[in-house]
Amino acid sequence: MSGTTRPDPQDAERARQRPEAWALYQRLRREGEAAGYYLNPDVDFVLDLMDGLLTNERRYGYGSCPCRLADGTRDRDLDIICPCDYRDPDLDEYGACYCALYMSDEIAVGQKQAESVPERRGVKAVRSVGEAHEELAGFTRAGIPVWRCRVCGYLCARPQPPLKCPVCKVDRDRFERFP
Amino acid sequence: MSISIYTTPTCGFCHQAKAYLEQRGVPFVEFDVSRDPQKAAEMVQVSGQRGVPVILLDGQVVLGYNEPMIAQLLAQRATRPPRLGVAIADSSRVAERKASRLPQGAYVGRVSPGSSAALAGMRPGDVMIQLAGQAVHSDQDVHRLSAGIRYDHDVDVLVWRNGQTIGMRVRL
Repeated sequence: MSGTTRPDPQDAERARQRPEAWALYQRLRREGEAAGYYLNPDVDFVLDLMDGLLTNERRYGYGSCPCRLADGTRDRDLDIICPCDYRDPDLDEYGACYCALYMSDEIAVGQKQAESVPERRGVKAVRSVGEAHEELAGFTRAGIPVWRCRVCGYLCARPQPPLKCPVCKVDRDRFERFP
Repeated sequence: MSISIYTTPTCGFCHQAKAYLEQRGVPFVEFDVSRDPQKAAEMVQVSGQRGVPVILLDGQVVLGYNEPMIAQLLAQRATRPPRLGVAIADSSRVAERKASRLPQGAYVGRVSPGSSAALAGMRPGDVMIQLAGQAVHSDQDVHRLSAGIRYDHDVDVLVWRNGQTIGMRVRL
């Protein structure tokens, strides 16, 4: 399947009425599809989520999940900055992420309605990069540290993690030392 | 409150959950947890997580927009009276056991988190002495009186707490 939705005559109107949300939607769709991730085919539902991400971006300085109560500190909310750390396991198990922005390709093309996904995140904040356990982290045989993207699992060996994940485009602070 | 819904204005499922209740004409109270830190803390305590929506429906915690569970809980309303959400005992027996002085009434041993009683401010150790304008002499009176209470209505309750009488309005 291609993952692209059929051209919708309403799209021009949506783009005109909600330019900011539309632009973010287009970017996430493009980036997602390039990496094998599909957005919810219900465009108006997605545009509401885009507004939510933009609201959180303005409010907190980062686009945390629209369906989760943010702490307001980036360090404590790292795991719920969209795309969240839980997207991939939720896609595997339920075919959709918690807020139903991302959907598995089977559900994205089908007529199945988005269902509510149980929250797998605990109440405790996840450990951010650079905190304890550095001594346990892995190195290549050449002595270069290995970094893992917590969102998509991308691995790379370099002195520092990349500024952005080349696969899912999340920021550097979403990486952890591997293993 | 019989139905409380904790939401953020940014969440699509929150909108869907509210629309579902509105379509069925079921009254509810909404709390925007992104703006109300006290209600945010309450939501985390009751649900053990930070995802929205969280719906408190007749004392049951519904996580996320779980439509089948909401439908089931609403359907149950037809077959059973509303509940305060407290475990009660005859206060004279409790007083005897604890060798303490308590007024005659229904001793509240436990308050379910998120229940109507909890949201009205009732606490374990309170003694209910009046319910819906009627005197309460024992736990049996509460059982008898609550059979006549309807959903989505307020009921005035008087409790005794450490020598003081406190009035509260419970929404069932």
